[in-house]
Amino acid sequence: MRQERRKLLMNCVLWCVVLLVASKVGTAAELPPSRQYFPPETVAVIEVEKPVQVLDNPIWQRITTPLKRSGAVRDLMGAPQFDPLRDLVQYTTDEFQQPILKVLQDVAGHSLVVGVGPNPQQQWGAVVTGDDPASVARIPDALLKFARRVQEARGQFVPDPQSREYQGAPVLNLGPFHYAVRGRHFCLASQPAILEGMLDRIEGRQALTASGICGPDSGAEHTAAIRLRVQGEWLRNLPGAEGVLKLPHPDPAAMLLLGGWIDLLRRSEHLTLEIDYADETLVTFVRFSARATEAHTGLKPFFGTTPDAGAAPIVKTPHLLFSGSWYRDYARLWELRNETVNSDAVKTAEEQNAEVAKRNRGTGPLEALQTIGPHHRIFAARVLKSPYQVPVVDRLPTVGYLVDLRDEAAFRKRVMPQIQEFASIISLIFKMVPGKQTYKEAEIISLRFAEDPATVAQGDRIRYNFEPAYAVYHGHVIFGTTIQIVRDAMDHLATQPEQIVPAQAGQTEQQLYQFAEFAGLVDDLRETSLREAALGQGLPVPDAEHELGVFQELLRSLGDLRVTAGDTERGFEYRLELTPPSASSAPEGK
Amino acid sequence: MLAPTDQTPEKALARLRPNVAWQRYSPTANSPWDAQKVGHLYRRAAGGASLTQIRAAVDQTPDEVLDRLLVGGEDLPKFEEQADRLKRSVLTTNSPEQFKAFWLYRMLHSPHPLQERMTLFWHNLFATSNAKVNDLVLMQQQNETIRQHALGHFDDLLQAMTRDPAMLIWLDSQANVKGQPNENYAREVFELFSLGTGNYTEKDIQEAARALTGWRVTDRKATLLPDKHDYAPKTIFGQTGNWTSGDVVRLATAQPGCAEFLVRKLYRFFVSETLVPGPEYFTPLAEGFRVRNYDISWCVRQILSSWMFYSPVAYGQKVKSPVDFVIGTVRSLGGAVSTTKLAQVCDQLGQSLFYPPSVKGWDGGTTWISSTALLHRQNLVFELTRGQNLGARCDPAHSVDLTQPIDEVQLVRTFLELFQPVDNTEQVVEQVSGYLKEERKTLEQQFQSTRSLHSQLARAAAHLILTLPEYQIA
Repeated sequence: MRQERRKLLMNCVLWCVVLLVASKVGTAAELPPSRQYFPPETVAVIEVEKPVQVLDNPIWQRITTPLKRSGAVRDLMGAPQFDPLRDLVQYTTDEFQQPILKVLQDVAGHSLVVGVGPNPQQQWGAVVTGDDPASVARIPDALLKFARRVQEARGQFVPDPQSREYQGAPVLNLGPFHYAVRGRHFCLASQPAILEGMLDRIEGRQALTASGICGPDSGAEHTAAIRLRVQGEWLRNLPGAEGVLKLPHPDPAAMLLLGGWIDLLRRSEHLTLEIDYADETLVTFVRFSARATEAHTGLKPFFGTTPDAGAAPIVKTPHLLFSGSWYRDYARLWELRNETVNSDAVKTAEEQNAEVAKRNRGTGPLEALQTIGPHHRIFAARVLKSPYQVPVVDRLPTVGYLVDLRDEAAFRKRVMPQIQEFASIISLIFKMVPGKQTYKEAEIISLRFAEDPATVAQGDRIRYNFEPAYAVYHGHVIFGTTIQIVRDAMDHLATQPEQIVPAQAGQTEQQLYQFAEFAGLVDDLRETSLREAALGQGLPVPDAEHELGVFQELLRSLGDLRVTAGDTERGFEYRLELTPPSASSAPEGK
Repeated sequence: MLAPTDQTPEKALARLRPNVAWQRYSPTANSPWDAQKVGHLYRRAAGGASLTQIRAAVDQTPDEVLDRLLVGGEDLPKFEEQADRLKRSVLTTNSPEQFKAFWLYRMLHSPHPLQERMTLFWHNLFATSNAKVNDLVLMQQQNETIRQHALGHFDDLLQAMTRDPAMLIWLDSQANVKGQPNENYAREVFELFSLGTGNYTEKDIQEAARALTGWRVTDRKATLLPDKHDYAPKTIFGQTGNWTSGDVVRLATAQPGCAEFLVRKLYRFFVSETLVPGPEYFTPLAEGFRVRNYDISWCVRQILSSWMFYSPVAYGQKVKSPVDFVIGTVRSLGGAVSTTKLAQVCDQLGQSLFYPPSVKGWDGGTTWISSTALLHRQNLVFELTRGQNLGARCDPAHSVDLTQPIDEVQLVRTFLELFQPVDNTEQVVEQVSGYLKEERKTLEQQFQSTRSLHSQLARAAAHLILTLPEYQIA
């Protein structure tokens, strides 16, 4: 009995040892991110994690499925400019005697990382980490053979690489390339010192890089399939950057339109682009490491990052193609102009504004700016019912814009007369008829083209897509290319609370693209698209129809794209999320 | 016939007696129905053919091939439906480039290419330019009228042209009113459209002008204004009556010179621009044409099925017009090319559709060739044979099986069979294949797959053959 117990205990101990060893082996197999093999001075690094999965993921499959039915894409892929790529694939599969994805998995299945130093042409390196050390070991020979075929065809002799030992293992040099294989890693660099540094970190003689853009992930970081990170300091020192990023800036318009981003660039340690996918959702991040909440005082109104200062909810209308909303307090930005724009430029802008104001009863663009609020929204939708009786070949989408009014009374008194004057000029030039109607107890002012046969016969019928209109409603001014979109925007506003509540705290921007509706737009513009495909591209009509169908299928397969921007714990971030059709909400108005 | 190719057109004509010239060609051991003859027929009657079409036609009889050319393919109604849809879109553009591109699209894709060739022939005969008409919708309307009658009866066509709104504007018929006749149309209808000089008098023109008075274009339609029409009797070709525009056409087509005038025009279009046989060759054809009420289809069939057509009298005796050149090349490559771009090329080469230079149309013949025109032609060929951009959908490499070993001589022969430049002698084969062998050596040193290598050789071969001086003639 005691023996049995002892046996059992021994077995348990042995199992524990085995498990421990196994877990150690497992840990050893989990490599650190390859960028940590690069020196801390690296200024830009691009990482591709599991490249085969990137090429073979379901999103890519979804998008390429319709494309495979496209004759135009087939023609393009068969075109001579793709010969080098086809030849390279052919060479690789011949050389390794394996399908290309299998070769890629073996030699680069773990990751592919390229980094550059402050002088990118002379300071660069790459680490390719594969799943199969034997295949990785074949890379130098395969590359040498490849180089010989290319160079010798040009009459250039490619000598044997020079080999030397570094820390007991071979390091090779061929022209400007220094390279070595260590286990699953193939390392390539422009300088011996860069290569040796990488090898030292791989083999543990030197600590992994822990700072700069090649440092380890903080807990807040994503694990992205593709990531490009660039050092902010390096960008700021690029030729010409100083002028663009200068504060106070010499161009007031640049400050009004781009000031927030200029400020982020000035303060960010690094900029990151990440592409990742989960199931069938593709997410892309564009990130500044600096936060908008810590913006320069004069530029705080640019993104408006206080909880009550986010972007208003996007406008939703039937058959929406695109809807965007952003916070931008132009009036406050202008009030703080002396902190962001140099005094000479401020003076010039004020003089120019005064000139315009003189001609417009004391209201120049800057005075008009003071009357509007910071919540801007723009939206576009398909038009299923034309506003005119005159038939049009192409039904163009309708576009609307609305902004809240900070001082509605001042807007009505100082800005509205100018809008009306402008509308009168437009109606004279384009022979349009002014109109007025009441909707939701508000007045919609519009302009229409005449529909009598004589007017219809003159000029292009495409103008019968436009019936420009505007209205002031619910504390907002709304402009639209048709009365209907102004009404739709009013319907939307009617459902919203009096006080604007940001869609989500900290979000300064939101956009929605509904690609299924874009597919519908192809139908609305079908005759022109067909003519362009037939006459411009030379396709017979049935083929042109087929290609348009493929294009529509591709658009539908994209689903919806949602873009949001705002501060996160990682910095100021744009998030672009492409959700597949099944996961997308059904387009409005269906 | 065609062989022996060392025969000059003059010698060949001497061997063809007038009573045999228009008799139906039937294949013989000395003159078989082969790719060369099929290519010749397709070049003249359809603007060109792909290798597949050429090889399929060789397996048919000449009559079967010609029957199909004369009536068009089975998918013609479907094509017309699609073209009509395209036309409605083109009409909204008011862009000359789009109208030209649309016609070239028809020439390239229509299952009835002979109808398009004949429409072009009549466009040149009834040469009307939008430079003066200034209404593309009317030009398109005229184009459709011509197409409708292109292979019908000439008298119907001439009647339709006499009341065509674009023609009324072009030849000042709106200014032709009672008491102040304008003779422009009356002169051209006899001189250029039906009889030719010497077959009418000045008096005939003056009287015919009176018969043609009173026509106006209202809402893009021709209408007769009774108060502007001269209802008094007129004497035309010795016949007196209260003649109207319809009578002018009837009287003109009743003249003995009319059929021969048209037959000579058709001969120049289909057979030869260089050698004009004596009247004894035209009389039998003209007589047949006349007694068949000017059945154009019959006359075209006679010409295209004759010994004359398949003889050295015809072979290589025409300079390819810009339209022939671009359409022929693209059709041969079996591809699809932007006709907007092709229309621009035709403009550069001097054949701007809907804009003939004068009422006499394009001079044709050797006037198509100049150093600048040759350069433009070569540039186009370069673009078309690159396998990318403009030529992305007419890659010559698609005409060859790239998976099989390629022999330079065979490659050259394949493209000679396709493009059939005149005088494709062994010397051409030797020269072009010699160049390709050198090219292969260079390409083989470069890093590329067999497919790439073969593609590039095919493109090089096509490019070289299409830039041969011999390719400029048909």
